[in-house]
Amino acid sequence: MILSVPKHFFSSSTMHGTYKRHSAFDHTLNFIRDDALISVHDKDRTLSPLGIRLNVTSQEFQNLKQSLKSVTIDGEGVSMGKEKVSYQSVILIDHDLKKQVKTKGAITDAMRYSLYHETKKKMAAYEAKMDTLSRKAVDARLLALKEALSASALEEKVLDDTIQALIGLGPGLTPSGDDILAGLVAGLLMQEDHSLLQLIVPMIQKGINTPNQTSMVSRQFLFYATQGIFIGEILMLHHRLLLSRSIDQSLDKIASMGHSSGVDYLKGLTLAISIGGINHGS
Amino acid sequence: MVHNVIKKNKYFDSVTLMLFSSKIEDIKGVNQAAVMMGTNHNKVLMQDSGLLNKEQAADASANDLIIGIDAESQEVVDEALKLLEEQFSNKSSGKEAGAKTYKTFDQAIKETPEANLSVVSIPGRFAKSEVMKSLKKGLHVMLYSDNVPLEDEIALKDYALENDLLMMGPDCGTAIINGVALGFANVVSRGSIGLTAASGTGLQEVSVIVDKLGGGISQALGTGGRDLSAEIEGRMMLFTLEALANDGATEVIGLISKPPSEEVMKKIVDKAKNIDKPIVACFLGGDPDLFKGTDIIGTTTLEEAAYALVKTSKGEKVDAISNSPLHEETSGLHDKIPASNAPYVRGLYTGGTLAYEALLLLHEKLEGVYSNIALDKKFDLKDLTTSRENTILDMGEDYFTEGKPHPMIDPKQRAERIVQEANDEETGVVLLDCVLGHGSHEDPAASIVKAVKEAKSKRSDIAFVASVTGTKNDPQDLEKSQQALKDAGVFVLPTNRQAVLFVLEVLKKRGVING
Amino acid sequence: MAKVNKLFSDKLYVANIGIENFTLTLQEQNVNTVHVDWSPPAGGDENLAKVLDILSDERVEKANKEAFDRINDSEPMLVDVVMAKDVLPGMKKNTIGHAGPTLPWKDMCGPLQGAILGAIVYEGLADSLEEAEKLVLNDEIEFVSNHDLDAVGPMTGMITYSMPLWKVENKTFGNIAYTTFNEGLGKVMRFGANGPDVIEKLKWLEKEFAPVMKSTLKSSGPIALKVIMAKALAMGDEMHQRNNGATSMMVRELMPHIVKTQQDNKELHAITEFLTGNDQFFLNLAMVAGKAVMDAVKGIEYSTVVTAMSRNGTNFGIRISGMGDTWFEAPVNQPEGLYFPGFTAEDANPDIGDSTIVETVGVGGFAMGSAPAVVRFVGASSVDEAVQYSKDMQLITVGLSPTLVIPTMNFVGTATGIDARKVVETGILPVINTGMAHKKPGIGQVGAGIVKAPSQCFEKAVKALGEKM
Repeated sequence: MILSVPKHFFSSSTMHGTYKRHSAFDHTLNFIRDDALISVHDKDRTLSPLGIRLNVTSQEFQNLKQSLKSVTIDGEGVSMGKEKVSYQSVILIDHDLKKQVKTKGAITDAMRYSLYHETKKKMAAYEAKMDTLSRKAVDARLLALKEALSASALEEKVLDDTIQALIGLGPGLTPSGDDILAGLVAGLLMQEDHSLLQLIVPMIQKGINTPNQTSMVSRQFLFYATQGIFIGEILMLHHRLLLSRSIDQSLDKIASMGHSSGVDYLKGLTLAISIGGINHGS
Repeated sequence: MVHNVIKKNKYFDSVTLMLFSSKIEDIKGVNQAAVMMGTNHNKVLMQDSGLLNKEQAADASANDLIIGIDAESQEVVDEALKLLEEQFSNKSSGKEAGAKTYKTFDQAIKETPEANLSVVSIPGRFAKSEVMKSLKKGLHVMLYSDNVPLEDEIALKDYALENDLLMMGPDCGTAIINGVALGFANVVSRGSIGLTAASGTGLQEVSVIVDKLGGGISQALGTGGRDLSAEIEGRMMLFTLEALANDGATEVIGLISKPPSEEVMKKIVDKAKNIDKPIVACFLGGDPDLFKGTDIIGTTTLEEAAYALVKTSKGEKVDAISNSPLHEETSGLHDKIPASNAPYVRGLYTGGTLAYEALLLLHEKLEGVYSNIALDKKFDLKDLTTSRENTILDMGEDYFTEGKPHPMIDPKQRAERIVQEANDEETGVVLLDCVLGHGSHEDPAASIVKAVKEAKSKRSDIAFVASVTGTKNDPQDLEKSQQALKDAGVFVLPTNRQAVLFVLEVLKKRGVING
Repeated sequence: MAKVNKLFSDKLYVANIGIENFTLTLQEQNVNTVHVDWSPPAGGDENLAKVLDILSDERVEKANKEAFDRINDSEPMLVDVVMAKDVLPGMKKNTIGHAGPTLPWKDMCGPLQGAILGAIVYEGLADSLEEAEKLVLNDEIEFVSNHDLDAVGPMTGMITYSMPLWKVENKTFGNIAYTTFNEGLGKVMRFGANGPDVIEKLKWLEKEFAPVMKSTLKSSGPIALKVIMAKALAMGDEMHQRNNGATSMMVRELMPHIVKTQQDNKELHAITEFLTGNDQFFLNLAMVAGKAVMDAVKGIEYSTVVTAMSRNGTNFGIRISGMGDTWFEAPVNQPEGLYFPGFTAEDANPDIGDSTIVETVGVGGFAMGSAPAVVRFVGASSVDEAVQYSKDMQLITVGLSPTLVIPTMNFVGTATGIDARKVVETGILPVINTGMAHKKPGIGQVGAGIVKAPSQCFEKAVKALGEKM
């Protein structure tokens, strides 16, 4: 029944243990263990680093919902209810962008250029659905972050404040601010901007460890981002950039995620790309 | 006044949240509103904006959902809360729009005995028992589903005929009854022309051209694609002919289909003899001489059928189609045809009958056209992912719709194919349809425009030729669609027939075929 | 051609079955439309659909009509108080009757195990719970399904040798059914509690309360339970989670005769305090009425009408008339509902009890529309939703009760005679209002909610009968 499992479930022993049922959505069940959260979803969902993907349609998933009470992950495999599946017999999905960048390479200036412009274009097509209040607040703090990052002399304190101000801010199950930060980290990773990453990652970690700063689901996504782990589409995007393939579809898929999540992700991504300066001319 | 709702430990799908927050600000009298997870920052933000009371803020944690509404009056708050509950509890958009929703037909008919027509669109193998329920309750049926077993179709139609009921379908996508568009249909003027058709887009094209020519439709009935086959023996076509003959509002009858089997043809001619209203038939691909010796006016294309119908309905004699006011002089377009060495035509259709009509008009002139609905087995396109020489694709066929929406509903697949054809250096002409009306995509022209622009950035020598099947009253707006296509450099012709003929002009000018 | 041409002149009113988009486009055109949110019969399972075809048979229709008539003709009368040891078939000192189908000790849930250990102590077979468990593990205790004792009991449903029982006779068909007294609220054995106070209460019921009730019934003569149930529906009861009206009516029937037969004021006080202090007093009587009615429906050849639904906390079992006493079982579902302060879903035991006999006979969840007050308690969102549940149940029953009617729904009869075929065909599952026990033995009730019978029970039953055709 299990179609795919994120690879880090297997490789990272901190993931191992038994997760208890937490909440249920139409396509997703969430399970928690202490602060960690994993999810189980039907095959209609895209590749999430949080989740085990089942080989069931969304309709069949409704019937399963009642019976799944806990999920156990260990070094050999995944157990759900009566079913125990070893890692050998499922598809392991690698969500590790950090590793992918290391083995396949960072994006070049030309790739950055096309990524920046195509993403800008895409964002115009997918306006994030947000109430006015949130939009104002998110935009203002995004601008502050941009200024902090592009200041000629980077001030750590200012940067930290702008990052903290974004965590848990805005609408959506994963608040907009969190998605922007995750996109930012993804972008920095793709262009191997290690010096900035070393500054920013601990700041984000500090933020998500503050109680009630953000929702459980979002906290988990951001935590993964600081580890270099992202949704499958981000890895695909990087991959396609390196191969000079069209990234239109990847961007579409990212942009159409969730409430405002996808577009916020792209906002963070373009911010990361623009920091180094983009050649706007011919 | 400010109102807060806190949903404890409640998670909602993003789509639900999105629907709510995008709709709530549109309510008149709502000053501002927000729906957020109760994170520290969000709480501060909402408090600072006066959207959250302090006491309630203390109650909410990062995993709770907070809703804050600032509105002019309690009534507005109530309205917003009602919307909220609807969004959170009703996933069925049918319900949202106000239609009552039931789990079974039995329950629905018990509560609404005044229903008189069922539209059935469920997997074909289940269709028989569901349709039978409707017929037994005395409802007429339009059966949209395909893949209905032949014996089921016979059983259903026989039951319907015994009980004097319409059983349109299976595979009936279009009908207009009492001016109401059912399934995929256009908003056309009402009038004295009654249509019965075994084809969906054929019915759309004819009704649209009738409308453009100033005629009107009394009823447009579908029979299902297989009705005129030797097995079904035209059961529903014969029945609908009689119904239109008895209909006071219908003065002229139009009949649209692929050629029937010989025996069915005989039955239709026999039936027609007893009807004292003029009948125009369009048996696509059939020999117009089939009707020699009868009163039936035979035509070979959809446009000619529509023209003959309108002329007849006005009591005028049917003359050559070149006299039609819709007939466009193409000399002006001629100068704009880009030069190209690429020899082949690629037709990408969302409407099945339109694709078939194009195939008929091009097949002989081009010495064979490859297709997934080929006229000649020799020209069956085996690999549908890649076009070959001259190709016409019906993208509403199984291969393209397996697990995906029909291209008339979601034109994305066709748009991608347009770009793909442009990447083939042998493509000289791309021929397209653009079907408007109820049921269709909200803006199919925009999808074509986007794809054509991308294609043109790579290849400026391709001629894009299209016609728009739609009327000025369709939700998508005919003129707007046509203008958008023209602005993108597409050659827009008034009908599918004329679009195909223009393609031949292009090929003549380029010397690909003899002029 | 009259009908077709009438359509052309009538106003169109469309039933759209399937694609929702068509409903929306019709509404854009201001056409009257009802939408049918269609789902395939038997959830699209072709084998099951074939079985349903086989069962779509005149013999089944006739058998079900017979079952439906017997349900409506039944007259359950409360006639006596008797001792389990004197009346129940095969009852021995070490026999314990429990709710639901039988199952091995190791598969029993916490509350059921807890209640059984308490019952062993109550019967004096052991001095402590530890000793009681030893007896169980040495196979010294015999477990039996209450339904096989012609009896029913709520939640864990403990019935043992020394317990007093209500006796109900179905006057029309002559069959008898039994049930225990409702112990009241708080820590009680039916929810798996087994402390000394629980056992003391049971002893009081046996020694003091039972004799008084026996003489009371002797004085009053038989009491027609269906009449009380019909009145209670009008008083806002659904008789599973709410019995306030029915309990009041019952106490009103009993009171004059209690006073007549009981002279001791102190004892009279204790008895009236017990009767008036427990809103759920009537629950057991509604259940035993249901059992007396449904037993009269057993064993009608080819009938797919459900005669019993019951849960042992591990499995949900149903019986259908045409298959006699065979249980068709599937794992129980977790109820969804509201928890008492301090408890969460984590604490709740899965669904348990014979009380689903009230839904089997057409009240409880089936009559939720009559009980607005219970709506919030079981976690439904609105009265409309409760009415909708009652309407949905009409789609899976043979017909509507002529006597048990729901005033709040324009006096429509409650959905009566669950047809297992219809459950499988529509995928609409019987809805049950239920209490929730703590999953650890000895803690008691933690909340109330709604649970649905598992579909597999009905699928299995229908398949089994299909093979017999």
